[in-house]
Amino acid sequence: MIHRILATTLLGAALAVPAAAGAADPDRQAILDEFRAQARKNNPDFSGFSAERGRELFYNRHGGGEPETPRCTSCHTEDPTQAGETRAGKRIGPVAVSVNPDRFTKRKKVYKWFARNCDSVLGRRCTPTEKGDFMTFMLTQ
Amino acid sequence: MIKRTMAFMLGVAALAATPALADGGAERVPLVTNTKAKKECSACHMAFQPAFLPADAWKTMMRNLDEHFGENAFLMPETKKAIARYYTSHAPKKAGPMLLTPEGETTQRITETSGWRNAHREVKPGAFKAGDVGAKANCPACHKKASKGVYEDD
Repeated sequence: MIHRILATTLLGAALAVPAAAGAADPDRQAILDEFRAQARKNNPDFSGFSAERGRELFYNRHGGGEPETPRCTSCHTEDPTQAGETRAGKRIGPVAVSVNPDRFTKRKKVYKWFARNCDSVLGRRCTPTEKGDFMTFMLTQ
Repeated sequence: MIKRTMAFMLGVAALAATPALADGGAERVPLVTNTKAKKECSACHMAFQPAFLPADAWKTMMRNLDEHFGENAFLMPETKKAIARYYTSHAPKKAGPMLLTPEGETTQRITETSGWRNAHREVKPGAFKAGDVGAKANCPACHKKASKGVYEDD
C-alpha cells in the first residue's frame, strides 16, 4: 500500500518536473483559471485577460499607494526580465516568466504578493482582472 | 540514541542563542533560527536578529505589518503569530539604552537606536546610498560576514 502511494507520488513528481519548465505550467494555469472565474463572477461581460492592460498596470504611475512606490517598476525596474531591488536593497528575482519559470506557480505566494504590492503601489486590492492581466503580460515577457 | 542526538542539538541551539565570542574574537549576534521568520523576513531584507530591538518593539512591529516602513508586509495570521512569538521570546525583555533612541524612546527602526548610531558614527551619510548599498537596512552590503552574525568594522 505504502509502496503504491510512494510510486504514485514519485510518478506525480516526475510528471510535474518537465511541465514546470514550460510556459504552460499546470499550477500557474490553475491560478489563472481561478482569477478568471472570479473575474467572470464580478463581471458577466468579462471577455478574457489582456497582456496590454497588464502592461499598463505594470508601467503606469498610480496614485493612492505609498509615496515610495508609485509604480510596479519602482522595485521591479523597467525591464521585467531583469532583477529588481527592494527598498531595503535586497535583490528581487525577475518577474518575467521567460527568465524566471517559477513565477506565479505557487498559489499562496501569488496571493500574498498581490495583496502586499497592490496595497503598496495602488493603495487598494487588485481586482481578479488586474491580477490575471498582470500575469498574462508577464507570460509574454 | 535519537533522544541523545535531540538533546545534543537542543543544547547547541541553546548555546547559539547566547552571544559568543568566535570568529577570531569578533562578537557574533545570534542568527535568526526560526524557519518561518528567516523565510518571510528575508524576502525583502536580511532577517534582522531579535537582539537588535527590545521585545516590545518587535511586538509593535508585528502588529502593524500592514504599515511596515511604508509597505504592506501582510502575512497569513498563523505565520504572523509564529514569527511574532519567535521575536518577542528571543529579544531582550528589558531595553538597555543602546536599543533605544538617544531620547530613550522605543523605536521599530534599528538604525534609530543609539547602538546602531554609535557604531556607524564615522560612516559618511552618502555611503548608505552608494552603489550596491542602496539603504541603511542593507547591512550585508558592507558587513560581509553579516550572514554569520558578525558585524565588525568593515
